[in-house]
Amino acid sequence: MTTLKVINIGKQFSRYPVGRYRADGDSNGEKFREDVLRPLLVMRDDVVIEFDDALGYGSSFLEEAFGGLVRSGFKADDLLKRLTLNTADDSLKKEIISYIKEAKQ
Amino acid sequence: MTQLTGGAVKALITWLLVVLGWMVVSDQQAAREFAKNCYERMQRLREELCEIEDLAIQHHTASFDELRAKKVLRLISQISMEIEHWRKVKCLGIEVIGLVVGLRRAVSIENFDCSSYAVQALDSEIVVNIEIAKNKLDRALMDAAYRAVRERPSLVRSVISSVKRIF
Repeated sequence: MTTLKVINIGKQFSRYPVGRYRADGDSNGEKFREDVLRPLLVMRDDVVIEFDDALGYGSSFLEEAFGGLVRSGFKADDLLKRLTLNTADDSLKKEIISYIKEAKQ
Repeated sequence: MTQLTGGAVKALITWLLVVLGWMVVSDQQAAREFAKNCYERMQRLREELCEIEDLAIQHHTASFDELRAKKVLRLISQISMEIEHWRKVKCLGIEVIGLVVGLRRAVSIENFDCSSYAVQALDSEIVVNIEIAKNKLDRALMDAAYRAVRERPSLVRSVISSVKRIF
């Protein structure tokens, strides 16, 4: 595995990441998890995610994208070590960490 | 010679007192300005919070509107960033982070997306949770606004901090 990859959600995925499932539109959490996050986590040791260029996040998006990783087999502790969440908004970081910790495998 | 040295010391002390006085006045003025700004912004944030609550409740109780949904999320993101700024300058406490999470979660974790959307009654659990989350954050903003006005630095604190700045 190679070391580090930076993904900017607002610039590389969607300005409005909303929706939980694929049926909720083009910018949903399931799509972000399966098409972006999971391949990166399989290929890279560490992934840096930039949040601040998107215009707003829905909790259902965040829960599905990050909590969904735990439900689909990733270990919460491992994810918390490998993911770097870059945002000036601490509430976003706290919310994502809570979804990772609370999700059941 | 002694008279000359004594005069110089007196002049120096006078000069130091003048500078100290000016610094204390400036410090008090800056604190007043900060408190005024903080109070005004907290009140403005409370108004924005009411707008978020209205839009969020409309979203859950009327037919699905994607534009409205995006607007709610954008407003929550904006208010969250600004609250973070005021938290960093110590106008708000660390507990507001959890309150912002609570608001975003109450608004958008359930029944927010088109595939699972159902119009809610005004007394539904989702609507009540939004009102509770909004009230908690509103209370924190109101407390911060009144704390800013109440807790201005005392003259002694201004003198001490000015002395520290000189030396």
